[in-house]
Amino acid sequence: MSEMFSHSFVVNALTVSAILGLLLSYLGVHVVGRGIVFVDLALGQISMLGVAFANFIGREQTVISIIFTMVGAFLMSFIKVKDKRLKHEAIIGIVYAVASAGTVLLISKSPHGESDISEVLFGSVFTVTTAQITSLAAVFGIIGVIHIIFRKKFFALTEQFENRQIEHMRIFDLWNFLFYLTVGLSIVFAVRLAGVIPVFSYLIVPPVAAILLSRSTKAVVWTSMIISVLGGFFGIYFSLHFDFPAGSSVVTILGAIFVLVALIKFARFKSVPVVNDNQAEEHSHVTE
Amino acid sequence: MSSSGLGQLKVVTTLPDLESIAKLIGGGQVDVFSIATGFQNPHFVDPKPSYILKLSRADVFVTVGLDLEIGWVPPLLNSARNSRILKGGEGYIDASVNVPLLQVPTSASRAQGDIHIYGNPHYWLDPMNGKIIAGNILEMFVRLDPDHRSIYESNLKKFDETLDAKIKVWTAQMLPFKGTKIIAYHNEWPYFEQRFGLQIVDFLEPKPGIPPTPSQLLKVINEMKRDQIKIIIVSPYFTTESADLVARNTGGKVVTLATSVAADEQIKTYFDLFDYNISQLLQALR
Repeated sequence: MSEMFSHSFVVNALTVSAILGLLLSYLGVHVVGRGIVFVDLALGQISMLGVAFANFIGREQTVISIIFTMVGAFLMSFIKVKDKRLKHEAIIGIVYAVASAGTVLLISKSPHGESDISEVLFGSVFTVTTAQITSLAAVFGIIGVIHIIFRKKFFALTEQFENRQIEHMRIFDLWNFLFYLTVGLSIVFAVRLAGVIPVFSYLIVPPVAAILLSRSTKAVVWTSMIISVLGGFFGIYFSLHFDFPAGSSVVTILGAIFVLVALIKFARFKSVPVVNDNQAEEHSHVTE
Repeated sequence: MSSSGLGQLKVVTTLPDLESIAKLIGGGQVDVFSIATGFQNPHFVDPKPSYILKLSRADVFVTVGLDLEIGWVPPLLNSARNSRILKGGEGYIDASVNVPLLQVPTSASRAQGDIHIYGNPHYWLDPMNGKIIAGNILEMFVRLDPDHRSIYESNLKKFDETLDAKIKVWTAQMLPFKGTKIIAYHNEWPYFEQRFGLQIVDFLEPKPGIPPTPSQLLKVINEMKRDQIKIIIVSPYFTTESADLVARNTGGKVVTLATSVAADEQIKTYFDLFDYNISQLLQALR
């Protein structure tokens, strides 16, 4: 196992996975809490739309895709569904579909076709450069610090969405915008280095597993971050051992951790039927 | 780490075609590994850890070049940290050196959607170019391992002779069909087309890399009906649905040709690649 660390590309991959995992699994707690799990795919697709647009007009991709993501995040912060029959997810799904379609339309009229777009989709943590790690650490560091300083604001907001207490919220809420902006920027940078599906998994799997294991928000955040780091580490180990692509390996390991957690939860539930009020309530629903 | 025998040159190639040629020239003196498989689209390869490990220990790296592998070779080389095989390094072979390139774009055609700024990169599909590739590989082997010069040179001679004899047979077999118009899915056959006297009149892709659109398929259907074109050639890594649709509407045939060695289990060497493709074409043309 120690031989594995003698290669700089493995060290780089582990570093990137840890950075990605820590922030994304934390942001994921908000994302899952708000019930907007497809926000990742939608914002990712908007950034792709930006890349397609940049190709279409023949300009540099990075800046334009970041601008697109910021505008997307800005517009998404307006989504406040008050009708009980609808969920945020439905609106986000529409954004995703339309952004995907727009990307296809633009590509079909771009001079260089898919060749440039594919580079964005095919990130792998095994081929990141030191410069990429530095910029990732800087961006994620700033986002992390913002969320640490203003954690109370962000969690209060997420709780409001969780409980659907959004009647009195302003149409434009700065903190809601800032939340979407930080999620959007993290996704733009993360997808380029690790690919769409691994980023999606980092955002969703650790928080869901953590919610199964822990009760307090604080415990959920810590558990989620620990799971993401374990998933990244063992995912890369799995990839090296069996020679699989890195992204899918990390996703598979995260999935395995989730199954394990679900089994633990199930076993606990069986042996101690009434742990707390919540579970007692769930239990009575099941037995009815 | 030379588990493969002492003194062997460790060679990594991007495509199995280059692997096959390197093996035929290097014989027992070299240990060759190809990153891409024969049925994979050479424009896109998902990095696996073993590729980086192999590259980090390689003495020689052979690439098709012309930006064919632009999406995946630079990041892999960067991660492998092996200065010998970086561009300009002592073990780096761009196999396209000295190859007479086709479809080298002008600035005007670049705006039209020419994605390959140096010319069409599928040059190994002309067996004559195989000899040039072999020459480039020989030069490197002799420079890095001069002790076995005579072995390499006699292998090259054998390779060239075999290929010359086979090219005569293949071109003779294709001669009756000289000038036959065909349709292709993707623009990867200009070298093959030129060598064997075929004429590709259009593609199912409206632009390289863009999946077939309805208007393009309609255009191709009309061209096939008008010019009595009977054959659509596709590569193993594209789905055949659109080609099948066009074939159904025109009474044409879809022929899957191999773009690389190992695309089919019968295709074990660079020679087999053309044996296979020519026999597939002859079957469809007759």
